[in-house]
Amino acid sequence: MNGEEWAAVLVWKRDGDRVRLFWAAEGGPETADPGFDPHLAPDPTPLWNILDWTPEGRPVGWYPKLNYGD
Amino acid sequence: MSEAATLPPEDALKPARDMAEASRVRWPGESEVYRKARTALLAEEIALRRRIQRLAAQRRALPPGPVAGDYRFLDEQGEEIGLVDLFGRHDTLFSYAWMYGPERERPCPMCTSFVGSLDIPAPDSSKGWRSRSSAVHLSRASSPSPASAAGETSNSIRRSATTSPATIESS
Repeated sequence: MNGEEWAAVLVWKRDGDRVRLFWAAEGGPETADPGFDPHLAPDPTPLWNILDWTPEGRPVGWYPKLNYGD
Repeated sequence: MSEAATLPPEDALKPARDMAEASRVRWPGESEVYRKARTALLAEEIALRRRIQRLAAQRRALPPGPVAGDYRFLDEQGEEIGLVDLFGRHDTLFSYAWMYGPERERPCPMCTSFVGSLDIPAPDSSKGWRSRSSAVHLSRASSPSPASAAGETSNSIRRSATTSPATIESS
């Protein structure tokens, strides 16, 4: 893993002077369903839940961008 | 500390189907077919909502996790601090390591989208809601992320980036 960079959601709990992991998002590619990237349930990003409310759903292969050039 | 809201046992709950059928929402011009399908969907939405709460209770019941490694971070002043220093006055710390390491000119777009969804609720969880949870966004400086490294790891905390509303709530 050294030198690699991954997004990580981690929740920690103070335990006196120490810190313990409470929970962290787990589940890499081995947990992905066909047609989807691996993702948490419930989905933490409102974006995906909002897309799920639309008739079009989540566009296949679409990802957010930093800019949309408008 | 107040108790977490917890769903009563299944047999103490009204069946989701009954709840859905009790809904009085009707849209002008809707067909019977639409209403039937929508009510069935509402029942499933209620069932999912309950499942989410059961899952959250299961998460809260996890045994104590491992003691964290001695992760080291650089704060905005360049001072080295430890994980425990990020808690501020709280006992719980939510951390998000986003992909904005030094070799990146721009942050990861997905991470940025996620950070945006954390930004607005952050004051609610760190200041409003029971005032017991701090949140920080971490990014890698020149060593691995907290999830993958221990000891001498050096991470930096970015309060903001030009492309995202990242914040640190550690007080």
